[in-house]
Amino acid sequence: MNRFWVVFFIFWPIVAIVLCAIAPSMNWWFPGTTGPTHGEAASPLGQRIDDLFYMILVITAIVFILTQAALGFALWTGANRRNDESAKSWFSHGSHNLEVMWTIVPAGVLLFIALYQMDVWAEYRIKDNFPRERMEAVLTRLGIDFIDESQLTADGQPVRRVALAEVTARQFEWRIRYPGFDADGNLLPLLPDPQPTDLYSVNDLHLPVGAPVMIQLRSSDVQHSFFLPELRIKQDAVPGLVIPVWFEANASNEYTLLCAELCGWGHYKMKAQFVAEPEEEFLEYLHNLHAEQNDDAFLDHLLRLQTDAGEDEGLAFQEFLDQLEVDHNLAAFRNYVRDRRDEMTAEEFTTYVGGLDAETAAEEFNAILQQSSAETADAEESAADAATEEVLEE
Amino acid sequence: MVMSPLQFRPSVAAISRAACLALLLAAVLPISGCSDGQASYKHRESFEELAPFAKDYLGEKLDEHFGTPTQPVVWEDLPLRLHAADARVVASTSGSTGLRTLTVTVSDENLAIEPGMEVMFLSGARLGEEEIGWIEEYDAETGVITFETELTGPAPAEGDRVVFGPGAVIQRGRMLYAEHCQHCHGVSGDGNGPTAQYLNPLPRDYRMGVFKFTSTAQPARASRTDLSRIVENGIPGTYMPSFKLLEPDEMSNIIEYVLYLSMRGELEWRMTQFLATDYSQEAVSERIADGESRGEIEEGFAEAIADEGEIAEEWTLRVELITESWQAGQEESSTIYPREPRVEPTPESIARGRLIFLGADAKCATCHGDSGLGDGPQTLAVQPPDPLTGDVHTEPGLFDSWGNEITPRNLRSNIYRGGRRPLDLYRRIHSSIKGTPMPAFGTSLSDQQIWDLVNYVMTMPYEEYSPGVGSDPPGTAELRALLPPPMDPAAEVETPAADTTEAAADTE
Amino acid sequence: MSTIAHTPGAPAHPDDHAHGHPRDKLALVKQLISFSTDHKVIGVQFLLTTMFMLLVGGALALGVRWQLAFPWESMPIFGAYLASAEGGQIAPETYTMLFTMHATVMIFLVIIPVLAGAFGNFLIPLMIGADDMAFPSLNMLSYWFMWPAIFFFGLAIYFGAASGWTSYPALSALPQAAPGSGHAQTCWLVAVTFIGFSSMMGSINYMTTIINMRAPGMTLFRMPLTIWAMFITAILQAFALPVLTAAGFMMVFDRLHSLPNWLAWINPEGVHSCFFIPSGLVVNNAPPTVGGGQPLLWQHLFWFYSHPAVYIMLLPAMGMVSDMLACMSRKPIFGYKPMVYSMAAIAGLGFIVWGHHMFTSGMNPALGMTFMVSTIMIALPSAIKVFNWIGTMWGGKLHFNTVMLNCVAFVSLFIVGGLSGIFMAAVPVDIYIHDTYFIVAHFHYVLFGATLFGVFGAIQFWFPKMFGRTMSETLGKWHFFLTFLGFNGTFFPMHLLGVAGMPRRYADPYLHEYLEHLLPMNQFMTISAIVMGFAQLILIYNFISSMFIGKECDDNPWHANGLEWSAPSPPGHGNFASVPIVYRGPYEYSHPDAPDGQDYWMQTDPPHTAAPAREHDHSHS
Repeated sequence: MNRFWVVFFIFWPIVAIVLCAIAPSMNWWFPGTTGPTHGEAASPLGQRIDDLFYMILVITAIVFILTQAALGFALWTGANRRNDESAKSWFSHGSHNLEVMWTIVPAGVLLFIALYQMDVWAEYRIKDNFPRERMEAVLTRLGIDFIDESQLTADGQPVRRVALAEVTARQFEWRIRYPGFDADGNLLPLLPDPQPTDLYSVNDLHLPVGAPVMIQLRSSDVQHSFFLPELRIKQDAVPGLVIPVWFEANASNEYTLLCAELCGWGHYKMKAQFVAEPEEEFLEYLHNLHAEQNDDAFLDHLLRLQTDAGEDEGLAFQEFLDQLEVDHNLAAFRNYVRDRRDEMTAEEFTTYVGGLDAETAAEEFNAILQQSSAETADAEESAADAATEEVLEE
Repeated sequence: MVMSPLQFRPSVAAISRAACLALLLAAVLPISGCSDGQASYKHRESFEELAPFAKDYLGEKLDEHFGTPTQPVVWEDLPLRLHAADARVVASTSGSTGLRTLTVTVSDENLAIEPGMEVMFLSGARLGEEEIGWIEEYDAETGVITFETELTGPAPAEGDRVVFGPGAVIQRGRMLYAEHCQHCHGVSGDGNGPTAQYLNPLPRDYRMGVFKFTSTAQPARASRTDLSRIVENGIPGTYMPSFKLLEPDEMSNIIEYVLYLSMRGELEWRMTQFLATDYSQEAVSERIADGESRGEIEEGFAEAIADEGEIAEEWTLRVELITESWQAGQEESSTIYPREPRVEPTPESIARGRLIFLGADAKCATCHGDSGLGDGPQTLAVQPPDPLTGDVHTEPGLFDSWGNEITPRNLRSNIYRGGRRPLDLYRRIHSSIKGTPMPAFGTSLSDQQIWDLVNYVMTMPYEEYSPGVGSDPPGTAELRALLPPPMDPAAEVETPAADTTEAAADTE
Repeated sequence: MSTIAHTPGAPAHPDDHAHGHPRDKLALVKQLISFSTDHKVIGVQFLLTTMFMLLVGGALALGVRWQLAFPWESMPIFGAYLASAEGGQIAPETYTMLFTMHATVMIFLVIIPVLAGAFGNFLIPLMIGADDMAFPSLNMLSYWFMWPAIFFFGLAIYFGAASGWTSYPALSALPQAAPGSGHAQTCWLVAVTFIGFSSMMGSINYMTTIINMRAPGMTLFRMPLTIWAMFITAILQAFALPVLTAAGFMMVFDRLHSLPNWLAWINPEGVHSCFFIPSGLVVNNAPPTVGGGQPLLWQHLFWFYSHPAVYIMLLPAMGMVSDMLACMSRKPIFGYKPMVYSMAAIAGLGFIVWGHHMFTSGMNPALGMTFMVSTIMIALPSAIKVFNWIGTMWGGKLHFNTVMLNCVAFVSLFIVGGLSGIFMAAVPVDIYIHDTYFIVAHFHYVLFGATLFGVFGAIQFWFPKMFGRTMSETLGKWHFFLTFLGFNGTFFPMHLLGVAGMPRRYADPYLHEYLEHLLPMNQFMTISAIVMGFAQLILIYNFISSMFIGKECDDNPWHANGLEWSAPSPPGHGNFASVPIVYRGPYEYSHPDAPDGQDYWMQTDPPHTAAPAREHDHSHS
């Protein structure tokens, strides 16, 4: 029976080691182990974290095996000694040399582990070590003027607004604020306070791939934690603090984003995604957000004018214009088309006005454009006149 | 005195052993006794006030047509997408013992047609056949279905309506609802799940068929798109979170189940209201006091629920009304689109918007307050009866149709529950927030005015404004001077004429 | 030989009234519900209470496991009897209550009181040769202060305290932030304060007793390691606990938005401080908070207590296991002084490692580096202890009885708990595994795998001294076997869940695609947990039945050396008939000079030749 217990105590570490060894093939390992990425971290920093993890794993595995083996050996010989009536225990109060040895060696190993971690941590969290240049290069490519001359840091430098999004955790979702576009369609820098131009989304964070990007993390109620398991990124969102977090996705993909700090009953519901995509697609995403958030659905109204007419072909163009006239909308429509002259083509135009063959539509379209540009010219002229007059008056 | 603590004699052993066993049993029994675990629909409070026979009638009627959460009934009268797929028979072939394959054209596929699904005929010769057919194989290209076992009985004719996975959408919707929604919105959709009591505002009670943030005008109901928009984006400023990452089919199944709960709830509500006039416990005892016998009343009730009786008619009518109003909501024509494009948010437009906001036509400020903080004088007034439920208010304050006190939106908080697009604000102003005192201005304001108002409201969070100095944003006094004089002389604020002119001069 | 008579059943004192008279059949009950100032009664009171609480905490844990294995399916007991269930599924806030109160009950009502309260009380005077504690009334109060704590924790369960045992603000500080942050949180804080008083009274008592009341000859370095551990634990408690109590009061003040009528004269608006609440938070549409407090302050204060508390929950078990291992290996403890020094080192370092709970919290990252070094270095004394335990067993004549099995399990499982600690001490790695199941695995390996197995062994070991009877070996082994298997089946896979990135405290992790495939593993773990949970009923049965029908034993059934074994079983009031005199350390097993060729040499046995004992006493230093 004694030996049964010895085997019992030797048995379980073996099971544990076997379990760990087969874990990756069973997909009980880093996210996506059996997928195309083989569980590799999706960010350079994450890969370095994984390397550190494996380093510690190797060291601890060796220690685990050695100590469990020593324990097993001690138990086995101890059990034999118990079975032997005449045997006596080894009378010893310990060994000074052994104590010194097994103090110094682990101390060295542990100190090595501790010091070896510093670099990765410093790069991830210490502001001076952020990959600032690469972050700013992304902003430059996106056309953001991120140097804010109007505000100075403590050392007299202009503030550099490198964050691309503000992620606000709240019970129980992630509210995301992106900078918007100015009147000329240039992307603006993200300011700390909400701006009328800002773009919003929820549970759906889009950022450029292949370069470090920064977000400002905050919480609007209780403490949350911003967790990107595939990228090995985690940072608590603390109420009252705005915390810069940077990360870099290696590949365009949709990554999981979830909360890792208890935030109430719906803690598990904070399911979101982080979409890493090329810069053009990111810009396009922002453009789409902009379009959606400024959509006044007037075109839908026009479309419905067509369908409500009940005919397959929709209204004839003249009828359509008449209808607009009745609604006092003709001028508005022309202005509308004019405002979208950069985006709208003659083909698109036909979908809204209907009842026209492509050729006539193109003619009408151009007519409207010409007419409206003439109007614009007039308006600009008169505005210029007015300005001149003002100057003269002064 | 010295005694030996904690030493016991075997004489106690027998009793103690029995006690130990009893203790162990007591520990084990509750663990083995599991709960029933069955979800069941709860009835509304007023239902419980009906006379027992009326309760029996309505309860059975609802169960008959809606079933229980775990066993929903397929009721074709409702405008719901109940089934995995809807199709028409094109042709069929027979094997040695009966129907072997079926060729169909699928008209409406909500869920993928998969092997193992039930096939149900809803018209033609096989309508009402008890034998159930199960799909063994389905070829999406040719539309050919092979049955697991051949079906005896009459063969279907071309054009017969056939559905696959009858009720599958509702069943799947109910499972997803239980996972994601039920703990707040409740098993019956009464907005009173276990978590609800901690939430402010309360979760929506679906059972009046009313949803607040819609793209349709009264009396049309919310469209499916409106509901999915809410599920997708959540409602900012409330505990309704965003479920953006649900798969599209999961989303539509949940919404179908929500509609199902809403229709069930509304039917229950309307019928209870109708029955309550004559057959509530109170009414029955009054009638007995007036000399009718219980037997007579029950007889009268039996007549009323028989075919063409008034209760049976009311049921039919209500089902029709509910069906129609929901169908109306789904039609493209009931979606509100602005007839004019958005007015550029120029300073002029914003100034016009502010005039409207403070003015007597729209009276926005009476609820939302001059500074838009949601603290207007109407929040302290007793309101007229609720137009939807007819409930009379005795307490001052604003109430929604569910009877909960609500506050007008603080327009400076930069939180827009129904969405932050200009279009969303346009719709809120144009066609109201359903079930709340927020009126619809679609007829009283022109599109241009609504857009001006939208432009003003959207600048309010960014407007310069220092709380504590006074509740008015800068320039309010000047604007007031431009407004028609207030109706109530008591509320008139004396503005020295000189000030106004000076201010006007400043502006110039 | 000692002059004390200790034949079984013989009166330790000539005036023992109990002997020869028909015993009061309710003596047990009367003893246990009396306000006794006898440290042994108090110890057993603590022990029985904590064993009951172990069942409560275990039931809460099974509720948690049930939800993780069968999410939203009808939960036995909780689902059926708790009001928050609807449609056969528990509400998510019930789940948050379950894990919050599981941790709370296990930490504050099981592990801390079973170590310091039960065994500290029972063993300290017996092992150092004192007749009782220095302050018997204080000792009595320290037990009875547990009951208000239990009452308020009970209320916290009833109201559903739900901000985790760590109670991070703003979730815990704002009543509107969560269902459990209302009265439940207040009750929780009150209960923690009571349990704090209880611990503090105990700790003052232990320190005083150990310093002042040692028997003649019981020098500090002749004390058993259990006593050293209790002493160091008491110091830890005395210095760390006030911080938690203060923090608890600060949070109560933050939460007091109105005072009861009889206190309204202080300020009708309530106290309403803002230590932990920053301004401008809008939660559940309540008015925005005012203040300018800092949530991280709570984390610092909380962990300044709660990290040392981890060692409060571990050191006494380490000490007891050392004693039991030496006895069951029939060998002196290997490296007595290094064992003492490493415990002291753990306690000292334990005060400067709290920040490792906050690596991702947003505190100054430079602090992260400092805390990483100190945290990793705290593994060193733990490693030394493990080596010494193995050294103790090495070359011994091992008894594979229940005591030994539990002690070996302690060492074997503590190795895992210690090694997994290195992962989370390393900050970059902790970024990923923080708040995942890896953490849950780690602290269960330490607190259950190590401490509770140590306690199971200790119950079996000192039971004869408590009741004069031995517990059943067969049942003990079955209990050990099932618990050990159940334990590893439940907690080892948690390491893998953690590496797979499964966050803690999720009522339904499977909403997230990358965790969906972990459901079968969780089901396996739950089945293991149920096996383990039911195995504890064996322990309870074994314990209670052995109190009455266990085999009667003599004073020293294990042939151990400690002073407690020279007192009668059970010891009478006053413990020893006359003051014992200590001649040597407690670990002289298999000493070549021991009398009559025995393999033990009790501390009270006078030396037949004085010289060798002295020599061996210090031979290792």
